[in-house]
Amino acid sequence: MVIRDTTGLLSRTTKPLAGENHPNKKSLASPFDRLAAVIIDHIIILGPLQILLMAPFEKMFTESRVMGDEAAGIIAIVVIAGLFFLSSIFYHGFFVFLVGRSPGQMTLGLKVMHFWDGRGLSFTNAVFRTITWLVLGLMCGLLISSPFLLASQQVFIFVFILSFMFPNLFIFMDPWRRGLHDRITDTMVITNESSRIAAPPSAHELKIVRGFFLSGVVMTLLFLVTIAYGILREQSLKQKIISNLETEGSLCASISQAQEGWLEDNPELIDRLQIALSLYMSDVVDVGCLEAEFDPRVYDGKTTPMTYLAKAFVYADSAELSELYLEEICNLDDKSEECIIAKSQRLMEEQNYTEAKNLLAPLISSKNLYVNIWTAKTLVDAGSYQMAKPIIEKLPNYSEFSVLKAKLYTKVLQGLNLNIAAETSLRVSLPILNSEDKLNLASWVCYDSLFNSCRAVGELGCAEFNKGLNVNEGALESVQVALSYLKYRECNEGSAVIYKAILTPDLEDEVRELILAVAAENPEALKKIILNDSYASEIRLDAVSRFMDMSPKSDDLDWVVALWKIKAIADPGYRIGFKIINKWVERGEFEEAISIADILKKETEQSKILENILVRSYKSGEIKFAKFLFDKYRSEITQGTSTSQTAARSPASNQELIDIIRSLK
Amino acid sequence: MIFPFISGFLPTRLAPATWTLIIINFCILLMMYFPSILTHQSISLISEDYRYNEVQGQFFAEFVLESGMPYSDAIIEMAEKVHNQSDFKLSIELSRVAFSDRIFLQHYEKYEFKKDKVITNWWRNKFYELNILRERLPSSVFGISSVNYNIGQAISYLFLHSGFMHLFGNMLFLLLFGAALETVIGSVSLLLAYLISGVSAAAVFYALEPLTPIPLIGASGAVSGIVAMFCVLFWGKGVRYFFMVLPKEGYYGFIYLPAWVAFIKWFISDVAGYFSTPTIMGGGVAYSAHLGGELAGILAGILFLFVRKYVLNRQGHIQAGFVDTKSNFTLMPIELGSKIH
Repeated sequence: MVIRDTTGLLSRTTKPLAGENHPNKKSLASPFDRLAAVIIDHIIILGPLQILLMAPFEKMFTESRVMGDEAAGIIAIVVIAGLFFLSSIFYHGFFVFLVGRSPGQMTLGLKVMHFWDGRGLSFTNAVFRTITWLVLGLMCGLLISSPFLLASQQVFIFVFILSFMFPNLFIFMDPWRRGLHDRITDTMVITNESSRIAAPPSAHELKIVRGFFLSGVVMTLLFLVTIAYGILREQSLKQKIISNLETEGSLCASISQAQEGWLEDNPELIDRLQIALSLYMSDVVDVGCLEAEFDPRVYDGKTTPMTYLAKAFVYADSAELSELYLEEICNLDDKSEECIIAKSQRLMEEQNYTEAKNLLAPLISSKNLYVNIWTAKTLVDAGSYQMAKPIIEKLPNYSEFSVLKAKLYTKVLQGLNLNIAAETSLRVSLPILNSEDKLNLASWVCYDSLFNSCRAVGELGCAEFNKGLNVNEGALESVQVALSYLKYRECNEGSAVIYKAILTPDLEDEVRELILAVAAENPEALKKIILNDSYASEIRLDAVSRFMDMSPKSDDLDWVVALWKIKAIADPGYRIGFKIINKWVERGEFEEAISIADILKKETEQSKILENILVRSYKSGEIKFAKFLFDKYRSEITQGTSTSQTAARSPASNQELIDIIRSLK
Repeated sequence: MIFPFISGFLPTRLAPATWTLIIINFCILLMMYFPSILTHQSISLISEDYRYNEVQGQFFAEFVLESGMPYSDAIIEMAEKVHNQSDFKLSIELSRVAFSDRIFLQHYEKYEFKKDKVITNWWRNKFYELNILRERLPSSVFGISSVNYNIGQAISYLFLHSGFMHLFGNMLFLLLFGAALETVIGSVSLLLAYLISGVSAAAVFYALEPLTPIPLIGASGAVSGIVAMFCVLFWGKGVRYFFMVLPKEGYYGFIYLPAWVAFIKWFISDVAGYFSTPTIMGGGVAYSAHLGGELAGILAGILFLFVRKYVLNRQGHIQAGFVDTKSNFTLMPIELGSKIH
């Protein structure tokens, strides 16, 4: 085998010069001079030329990012990188071969030479040296900085530039001040300026560089651990985002699946938008799915009340535009069901639940699926459980609606004081709900049970609520959950807990304000909360309840009753109405209590409301009032016991009511 | 970093015209900047709204594809993606293009869009409001753009700046190059060179970027002209630069290099900037205007040299100072060369 000794190393006749005998050991180039030369070469001289060369491809890259053209972007990056490398290699190779130094090195009086014999470099060697320097820099740069890409592009670029210079750190360790590329290519850099000669690295210098390497490794490891931890922590969140991104800009598969499944029962249901609206209102799909239905490839551009209603939901993030769509629905057709929905939406926002409920009454008989869903949800929110119940029962038994039905039905049963049925419904619902839905439903049920007394604190709703609090981080940011939490703890640990509750993190400001008012036993502060209609209705209701409990004065109860009567306090579910009756009864003001019961009877259009009050007061020991009530409404109450529906609508079992009536007689 | 620091900051006595220009620019900025802050805020409220931009991108896409107006292939491609694939991200980008599209601005009010009237009216009202607000800005009144231009604006735009950093950058270079040049060519000539370069910058900007209604403001075109003229006059002569390679003693200081070094760097960065900015994106820096100013500066410099040579020839003598290589400012037979070092 014939080996061509191109480097001359094998055929070298003289012994390599090393150690103190090396003639150039006395003219080592300063590391700072070398760095300065790189800066002059690459930032002052070559840099602008490279920027000029790369300009069209930079433009191509920017355009490709805007256009989403990945192929063009990759081509642009490859060309930019290629131009950078080729121009750098040519620049250094040419100058080092021609004059033994680059222009930057020339400025600082440096010279590149062979390590062993001090010869100048051939063009091939000069090019090889530059390639080695760039490739080593690139390898270090990519290896060290690539994890930082997870942080941000700017951090990545910064770390890349720093780590690109890593192979040069060997200059501070090598006795001849050679970088890694110098050692590989057997070259070294000397200075011609006697005043700028550098000494070989001192022990101190070596320590600093080793420390630098070590800290670099430690920092990178730390960074990687942090990133890994962050990734694990946010994985579930990311999955959500990814699934949203998957649906963004394209149609949702769940709508087609629903369409296939539903067509057997509803052959007339062929409109995808109608299905999308139904699923959106049932919280099965997000707004992105609904928006995708307006993709020009699917949407025929027709303008109907339904399309405007859907667009009002789609543009809900732009309140003004959403409001314009709601307004325009009634201009298109003021008799449409969608017009009623639009109007009721506004009333609900104004917390005018009674008007909303009245407005929605004609929709109970609607055959439109999304109208039924909307009506049922709104009526439950407005506290009209009796009206909502048949609509929920009417909803088809599609798997997509099982969660919605379970949630609404449990609330309705609880709202109607059918406590045993509500608990059964909750028990059945729990396995199909996710942890967030479980917590919200249990919170609602628990709060409703504890509103008037703490007796229900050990029941399923409160037990599930307590369990859910432990698994849902940040759940107390929800006003409803926070109020349930307070009530639950007060029932368990007594009213002293309210002082500790102030320190609970995550609470909304308005909840904190309520806690402070209660802790300070300050009825005036509660009054302020009650009258502040910018606060959530749940907060104001809670404040009313606490105000009635706190203030023994008759005037204060009169004030609450007056507010309640003029509907200045929104009372979905009539919790406050019932509480006022209880307060009057406690004071022996039976006539006043009956007058409120009359109002409730009219408002709820439920004859059974009287039975509710009767059973409640009898059970709480107010026998005198129960008798008073029974005597006044004897005919209505006894009639109720004879119907077969009583058991389903009564607060207690039919037998319980009959027993009470017997004892009152 | 290498930075021309020719004669430092000359006092007003030696460079009255330069300082006058700086003071005028500063006063105008003070007068215009603060009153327009509220307008800027109102504009941001609309123009930075995600939903508004997405909708605007969709409207512009429809207009580009169906109005039959002449648009570049790149914009048509973008519009097709937005229109046919509902690409929301691209829609936002296209909305930015719409803000600065002259044809769209002229037709958006009367063009019949296919979208429903609710969203059309909502967007149209917002876009109209936005344009009214933009017209109120001093940059629209005094700046030059493809939809709003006359000879008065070709000069007034020179004295408007978007903020203090913009003003500072331009005035720094005006002070460094303009003051040095003023000592050589005189105050009147400097003012003339400044104005001519500014007008030339506006003309080239209009010629190279005819579709953008974004107003051109700032003195950078004129300053580029002053820099170019200075470099032409002192082409091979050494001028002082400040350099800082490393923040370590011995690695920063002053160095004398030929004036063409400054010109080449300046020119290259403008050409590179011009070619790297996508035409559909607009961009914050009007590189085309810089190039226009530089072109005028080069011509003005050459003309000055010829006139100077002609005048001196007619007078029958060339003063020794003209070829004195020791001094860097020896074009004029004045004693400034030594004073301004």
